[in-house]
Amino acid sequence: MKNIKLKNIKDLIILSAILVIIPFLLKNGFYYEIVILCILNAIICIGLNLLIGYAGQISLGHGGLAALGAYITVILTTNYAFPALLSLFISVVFMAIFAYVISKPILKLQGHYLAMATLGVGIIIYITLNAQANITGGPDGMGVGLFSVFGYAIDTNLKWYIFSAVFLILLIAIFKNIINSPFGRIMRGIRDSSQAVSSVGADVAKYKSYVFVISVIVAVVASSMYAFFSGFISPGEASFNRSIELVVMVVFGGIGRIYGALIGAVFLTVLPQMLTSFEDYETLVYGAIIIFVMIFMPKGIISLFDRFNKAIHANS
Amino acid sequence: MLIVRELSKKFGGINAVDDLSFNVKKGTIHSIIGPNGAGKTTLVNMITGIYKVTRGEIYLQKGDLANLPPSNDDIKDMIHGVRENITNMPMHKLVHKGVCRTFQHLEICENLTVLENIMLGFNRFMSKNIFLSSIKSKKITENEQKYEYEAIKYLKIFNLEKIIYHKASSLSYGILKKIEIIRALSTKPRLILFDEPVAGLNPKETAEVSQIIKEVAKDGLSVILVEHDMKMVMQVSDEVTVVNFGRKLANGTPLEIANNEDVIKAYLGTKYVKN
Repeated sequence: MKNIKLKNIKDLIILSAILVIIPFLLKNGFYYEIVILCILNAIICIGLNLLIGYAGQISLGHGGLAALGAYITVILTTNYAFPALLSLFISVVFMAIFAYVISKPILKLQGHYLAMATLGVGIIIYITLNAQANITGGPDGMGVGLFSVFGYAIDTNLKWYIFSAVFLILLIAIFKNIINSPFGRIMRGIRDSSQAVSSVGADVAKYKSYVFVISVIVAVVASSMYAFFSGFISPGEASFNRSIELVVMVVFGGIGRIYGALIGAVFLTVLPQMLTSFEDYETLVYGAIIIFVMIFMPKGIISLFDRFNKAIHANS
Repeated sequence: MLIVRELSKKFGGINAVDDLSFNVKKGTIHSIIGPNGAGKTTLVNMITGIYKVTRGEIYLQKGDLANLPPSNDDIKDMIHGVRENITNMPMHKLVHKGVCRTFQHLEICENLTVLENIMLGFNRFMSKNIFLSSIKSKKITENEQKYEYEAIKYLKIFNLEKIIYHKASSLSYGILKKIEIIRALSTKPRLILFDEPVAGLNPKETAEVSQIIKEVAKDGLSVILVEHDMKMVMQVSDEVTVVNFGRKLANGTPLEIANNEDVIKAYLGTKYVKN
């Protein structure tokens, strides 16, 4: 019995070990920034993957939704002097309700139409954030105060790193449980056949909404954290490009796999930094790499690890 | 068990189902046959809430009174709680009233294992609370184990215990058809609708499925069977309703139907009688 339990959390142990080692390898603040951005992107992608990969519903508006949540947190903290944690809580509750309400009409759509509708939501948010300059600072963005938890300020890179790494581990543990629960089974069933799921008594619309809300909550928390970490937020976070980037990370890493989303997020966050030496051709190379990977690894980067795993098991 | 009264469905100007009435008695197999396009699947889709009913009503008899002959006084019966109007009730709600179905075209979750597909059926008895799920509470785990045990028991009855951990996408059509039937049964229905359960199956599989359907009815479940395989229909049915152009052509025991001249002309063909 004990062995089974250990086997189930093997991946979490490995990930924790990696996360513990990483700070020793980071030479300066810039690397810290990249790594923390990787983790926070990974968190958003793991949440988004629950919607795209497991429940089979596309969202091209997650950048917008995440940014709206982050703005609410930031505005409450900076302009109204709310404690950071309380503003985050208010923002999450508000965005959960907001996501639930918009999911009702939107998730009735399928395929291209769903993509269009979520795209619309993202763009509306982007325009609103740009236009309401007196509250949001407009296109120039706004500065963000310190993040403190019950009086304890999270102010150094290392603190931020630990904070986000713990969040990542907890999130993966929780999501693994959800995916394998009766709730998760319904969610995964919807991707293959919503008829089948409703024929066994589950309200498909309700479950789609739940998953949408969960993915939005996760995105809001992570992007609020990023705003506090970087001390700055701009409507760029809500842009169409950002939403696309998140979806690409999920697909690039491996759709419908928790670690696929993680790897995709890490890879595509680090890649642009590594390509800076290409200067003018950076975007070109970036695009070429994505195309190359999608042609030869349609199941994402994670399929590379699968092959590797298979080879090891075949030899032993 | 089920009372279908003057049911009609219009698609544009076409009457797919026109003024159709019949009753399904408890513990019987009631077959609905008819030529292609007669409105059989439309009828099943209306009963299971997939299509909105244009006109007419569908009632479900409740509890122990399910085998009483239906009275014509709907309102009185409903007041006494004997029957419930289930017209236009969505499919997922019907399951909780004890009505379940299978589909003409497979509706299987391909990326789930066989066991998970069956467990979907048991899902309605399990807690789906998201917070309890996320911490994998004791209640969730215990329930999961309990129903997993039961799912494996079901699979054993159908000799499918060897493939419980196989992904559904890797299995043959015949096996998936059976899995769909088991999934429907695992919701523990009182009335089950089979929409062409043996279409595309080989004779051996057909015989197996016929046997399953017979045993299901023996256990007290009511069955509505839509099928083209006349041999099977005549073997298993207690009552047959023949539909043509959305209208009821005849109703009776298999023997009566096989000898009904209208039915022979419209559907069975003269050859069938000679054989």
